Amino acid sequence: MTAHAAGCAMVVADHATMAGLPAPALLAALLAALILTLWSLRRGAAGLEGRSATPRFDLLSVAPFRSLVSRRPFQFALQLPLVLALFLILSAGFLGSPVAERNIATVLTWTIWWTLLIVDIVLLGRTWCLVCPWDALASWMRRLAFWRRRPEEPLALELKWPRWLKNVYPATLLFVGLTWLELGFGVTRSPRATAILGLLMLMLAVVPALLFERRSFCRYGCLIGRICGLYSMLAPVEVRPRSLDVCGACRTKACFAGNGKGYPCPTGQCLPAMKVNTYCTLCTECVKSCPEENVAINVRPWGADLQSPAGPRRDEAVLALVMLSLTSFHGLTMTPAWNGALAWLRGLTGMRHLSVFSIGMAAVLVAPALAYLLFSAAAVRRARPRAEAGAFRPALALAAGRYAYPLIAVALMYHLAHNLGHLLTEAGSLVPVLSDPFGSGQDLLGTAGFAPTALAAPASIWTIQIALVLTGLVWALRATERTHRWLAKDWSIGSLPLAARVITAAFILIMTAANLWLLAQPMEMRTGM
Amino acid sequence: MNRRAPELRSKTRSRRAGLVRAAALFLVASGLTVSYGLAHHVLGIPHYKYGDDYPQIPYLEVIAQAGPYDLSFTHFPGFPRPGERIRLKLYVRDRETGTPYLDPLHVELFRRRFLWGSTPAGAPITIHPGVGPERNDYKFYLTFDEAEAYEIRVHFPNGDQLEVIPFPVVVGKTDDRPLIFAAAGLLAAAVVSVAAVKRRRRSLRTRARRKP
Repeated sequence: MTAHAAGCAMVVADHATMAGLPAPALLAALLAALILTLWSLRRGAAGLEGRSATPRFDLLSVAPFRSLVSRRPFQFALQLPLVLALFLILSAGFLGSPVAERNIATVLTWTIWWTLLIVDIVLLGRTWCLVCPWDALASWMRRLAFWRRRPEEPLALELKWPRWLKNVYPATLLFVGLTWLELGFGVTRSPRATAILGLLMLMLAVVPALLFERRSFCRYGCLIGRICGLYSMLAPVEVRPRSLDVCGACRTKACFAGNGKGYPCPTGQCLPAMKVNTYCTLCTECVKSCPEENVAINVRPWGADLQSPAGPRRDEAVLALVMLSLTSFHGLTMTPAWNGALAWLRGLTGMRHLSVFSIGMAAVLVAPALAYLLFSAAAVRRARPRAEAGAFRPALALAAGRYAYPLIAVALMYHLAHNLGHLLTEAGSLVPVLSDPFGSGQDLLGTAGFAPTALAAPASIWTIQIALVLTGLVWALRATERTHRWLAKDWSIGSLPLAARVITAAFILIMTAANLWLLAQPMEMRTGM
Repeated sequence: MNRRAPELRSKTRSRRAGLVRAAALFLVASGLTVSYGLAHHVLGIPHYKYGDDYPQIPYLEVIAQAGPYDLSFTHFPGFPRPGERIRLKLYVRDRETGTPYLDPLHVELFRRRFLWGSTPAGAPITIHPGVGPERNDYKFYLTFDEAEAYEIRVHFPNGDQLEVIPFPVVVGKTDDRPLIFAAAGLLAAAVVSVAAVKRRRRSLRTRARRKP
């Protein structure tokens, strides 16, 4: 081993950062949020009556679209390019450059896909599940066919999914785990780790598909599917029966059980029972199998599922809270404030980065959930001051379950605002890596030397971000007002007192203000642009 | 009074005890990872970058802070092979004034082994900065003969205390072929096993049908 010292030019580099909202814009946005909250409280449930019969337009009433969707190769044709992209990502991740911004694996996965995923949900619903490459590979193996409807049994043991796992907790745990890996280990900055994650997801999709009935992993375990599922309650696209009467007279239930034309619903949905989008993967098998052509793919107003008075599920409510915390956490970890806090904690405890990061993440995960429970408890106390002691817990469980769903709007709109910021600033980084996907010095399309720039001016991005976060606030506030009505009905009281409504609105306002503050922080970019 | 109440209470108690145990385990695990450093902070995660000479070989960069100083540590190539000469550079400057730090620094070399901790990997060295405009960083060369994870520990005086700042150097590129083959093998094994079970089930069914 040899060592000697010599002089050389200095090397100082740092990750690129995007400026956050300017202080006046933040103040204006906070003021607007406060005014909107007061407006919603004043308006109460007015204007929410009779909104359940919102207009729908059935896309399948357009003959060419129906003809396209009804063809068996429809899904395959959409999945194939994504499967090829997955193989490109795996190859580039394992064999290509280790520099994140020069490798298509990291750029395509984290800068393009991860950001576009949320945009896609807001505009098109769960179309990601329709084209999902992991599901495609698992389904092809299970069915032993790319698109043909084979009458034979699938290549699967068809075991029952364990009863204790019939909830979205596995997906919630995987989501927390992925976030820990992504942000704690810096997976977004490592093409190799990105490829390993892609491979792991492939195993998670394929092995359960070979063991369990239907696509149980998609329904219960897939973190992306479950996040998309909850978010898609707000999406403007849904699959529903055209007529419930026709479904009532149906004896075959082909949508659920399948027939010669279509496979059984992969997530075990039965069309007449479908009230919300959460578990529909938009695979369009029911469109193919329904003998009565009674399936509609509707375009509907955004957030229509939040108008559904279906009973709350505790596992979904927990996932909604986790999503609320972790979407903000994603933003938080890119701020200097977070790095400063971690550095302070490291200095204080002497722990390593990962330990300190894990503690910080646990705190960010738990704090909003605890605050939410406290706010819910305070609202229930105000709403039911004379309720007997034993009735408080069930009332709190019901209220906490119901109030969690409107928070999906806050999470989704902040997620979208944050991701749009990344997309509009960094999407250009795809151009050079398309020419040089492995970062090996190739120039396939002549764009390897392209210097990416932002797609929009910062002022435009800030305006869009503020508008989105405030839309989420209004959405959540209005949905909460509707929830108040359902709770009043559940508890057989006329209406909830103003104090209870103020408390729930205050929590939504605080979360919105926190998200606006995050948007005002300088953000470290995913790529080194 | 509900007869199940004591059972429920004991269940809740055992759940609480489980939570306390999990929290204690986490704290112990966190304590195990306590580093030997003092008040320095390694900012972010070590990452690979290209210099201006892209598409050449990437280098590794680690950024740290100690007291009022910013430290930038790089080594080239980013993925050195055993026996390859590695160029290491450390640039230290005052965060406020931008003035470079120019005193000699003491450096220790360690080998890191998973579960076995760190053992010395060579004699300590003293590094000196270059002198002159734009020549004021510490530049030194190392050669490691074995593929291993190493740690360069820089002793940095911060006021009246001495900080030990660790920088990683991994020699020998990770070979992903075993991982890819293992994944492919697992998938193939799953498909073959499921197919075998299905065939066996089918034959059992056929046999059962043939029986009078």
